[in-house]
Amino acid sequence: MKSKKRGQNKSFFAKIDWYPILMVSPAFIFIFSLAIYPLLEGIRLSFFDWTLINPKKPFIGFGNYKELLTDSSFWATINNTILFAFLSVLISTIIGLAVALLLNKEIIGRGFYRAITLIPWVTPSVIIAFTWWWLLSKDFSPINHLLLNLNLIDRPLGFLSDIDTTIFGRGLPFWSVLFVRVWTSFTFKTIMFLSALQSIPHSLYESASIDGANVLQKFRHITLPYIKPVMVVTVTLSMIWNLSHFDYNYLMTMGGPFGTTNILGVFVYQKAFSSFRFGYASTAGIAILVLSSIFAYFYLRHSKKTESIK
Amino acid sequence: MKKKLFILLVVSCLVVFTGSALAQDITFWTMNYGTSSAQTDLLDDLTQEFEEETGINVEYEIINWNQAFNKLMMVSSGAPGPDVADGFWAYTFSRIGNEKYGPMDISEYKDRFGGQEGLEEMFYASTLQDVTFGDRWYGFPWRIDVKTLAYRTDYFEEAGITEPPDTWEDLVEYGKKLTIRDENGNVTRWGVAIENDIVQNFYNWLWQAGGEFLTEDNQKSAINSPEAKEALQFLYDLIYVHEVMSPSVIDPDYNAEAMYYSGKTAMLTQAGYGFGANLERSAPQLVDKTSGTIPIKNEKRVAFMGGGYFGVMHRTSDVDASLKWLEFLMTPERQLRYTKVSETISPMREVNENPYFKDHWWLGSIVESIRYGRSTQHQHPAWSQITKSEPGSPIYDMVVDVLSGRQGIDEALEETEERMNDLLENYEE
Repeated sequence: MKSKKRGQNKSFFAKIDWYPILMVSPAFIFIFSLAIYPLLEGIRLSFFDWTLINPKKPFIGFGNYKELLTDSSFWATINNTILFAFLSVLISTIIGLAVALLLNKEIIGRGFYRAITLIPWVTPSVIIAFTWWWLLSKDFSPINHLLLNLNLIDRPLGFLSDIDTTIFGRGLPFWSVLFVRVWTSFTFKTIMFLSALQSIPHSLYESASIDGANVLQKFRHITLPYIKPVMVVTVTLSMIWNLSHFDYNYLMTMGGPFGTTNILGVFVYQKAFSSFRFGYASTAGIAILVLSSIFAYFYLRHSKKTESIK
Repeated sequence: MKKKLFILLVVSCLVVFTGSALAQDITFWTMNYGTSSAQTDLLDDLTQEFEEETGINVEYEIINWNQAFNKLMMVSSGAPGPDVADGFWAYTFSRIGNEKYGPMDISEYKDRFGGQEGLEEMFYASTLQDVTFGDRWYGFPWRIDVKTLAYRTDYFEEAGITEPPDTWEDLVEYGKKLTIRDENGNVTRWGVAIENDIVQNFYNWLWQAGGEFLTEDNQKSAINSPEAKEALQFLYDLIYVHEVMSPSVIDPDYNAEAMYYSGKTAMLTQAGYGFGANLERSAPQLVDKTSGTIPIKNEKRVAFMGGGYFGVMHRTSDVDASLKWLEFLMTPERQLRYTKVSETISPMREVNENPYFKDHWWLGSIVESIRYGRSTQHQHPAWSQITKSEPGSPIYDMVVDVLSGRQGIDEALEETEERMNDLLENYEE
């Protein structure tokens, strides 16, 4: 009986094709240790009162979740996160597409323009944040200096501090940080759209011209359908990245003043590293996971659809 | 041939591994001070000299100050760390580490350093208090920073002021004389500015008013007091009543030193040791027009005194080698080199008596202010949460809320007291 079992096991393992498993295992180990394990650990921590300075870290079930859902600053942060992400993706997509269309034309110095478009994308976020921080500083901003000299303003504007001057109900710091986020992210879209634009056969535009189509009609019926798959992927990925954004909101304003630029990424950081409440911060991190998962779902669905069409 | 090659390979591996296992290596973390090239050169020299003397190799790593707090916090919570570290708030981190991680109690080795008497001879007593709790001793103090006042002598002369401010009243009176407005009423130069870190700033104002953050046993908040109210009211009045200080002191884009360099302020309170070196680099033309003075007074003449120490960490692989490295570093001659390069002030009496510090145009006033310095450390692990200078920490939120006019002083103090007590009570031994 025993020998039969052993024989069965042997044949089971012998049946397995180890080669693909071996090939996939480095990537799996990498993803597991850097993504899956921290994710599972984050979920586990969210059920504990895990405060760094406290030696006792008791299990509290859904205690952190209850606290988070009744925390008004959390809801304000969720609101900011969604608004920042939505506006940043929308504006940067429009600008990115416009710049891509321009760079797709036969213009003098096209290569140079394409190269400088990459600058905001390749520059480290810390350098960008501090450069814009200076440029937008109330006391030293050259922008303020220019506006004052042109008599367009009578006092320096607090781009990163004035929450009383509002545009569509949001203070200047919100718009300033949003501006920097758009400035740094539109180039990625430009690159993506430009590569899609270059794959459109020129003959299609020529035929459309012969048929008497104007610029807008060509854009709507040729350009847009051709770049749509790239656009969907770019926008969905940007949305996921923007929902977990941290850099500019933290480096330029630390989420302030008074939480007006605070977003989930900064909220999680503050709860973990200012309050040392890792359990609570993990719970807030789950909110990022949930929000990102919605867009990840659409992204995966779209990828699946595209594959089945192919 | 193949067999021979294989044997040779195995033997080489054994030699390499055995060699590395026998070699004494320790790691040392320190924060960034002065210019990075000078600091790197000094650490290269010192580690080389040490290796020549003892055969122990020290691998050093310079930690950016922006990350220092979180890194030390993680190490004290069990994350991998160095053998020897440049630390601060020894009490907080040692309590977090619970004598398992983080700073190590090295009192059993005190005799190697001349015992308590020997240490007291070398260091100012107050700086030793920062690393000694009961019978536990966590390391050697190596830098101290006292926050004092910097002012523009040329502006003072213009305004007919002959003496530096001595009291809070002087600050207001001088501030009024030194604040200048243009024809539209916009301020072109403020009389007073405070350094960026509003929490560190508040230590001075609270203590000078005679107030305290915690009760004597460090177990309860003492912030809701008439003294704290007076301190907050004074700061508020500097901005909104006397109009001698910019309301932007609480803004994310406020930069106190840049205000001073650009002539937008005449006095800068709470300037530390780094101010002088920064001025020499960023605005050397102002060195002859700048002077420092001892801390101003109200109820008391007292000032924020921060500091740092070198200590052994619990996860060290070699206590003896770590102690030897400290022994090597903590000689007056090496500390003089270290302090000069790091542009700090030493807690070692012998180092400070060196004319380089005493006669220095800026550091001289810091050395003179040491006698008014008071340790910022409060012996409770939650202290780090209470005074972190970021949104979400009680003291930070209180000062920002009051100075922005979003919250009344009484209400802010009540709320802060409650938040501080929550944090203090939440900690369990």
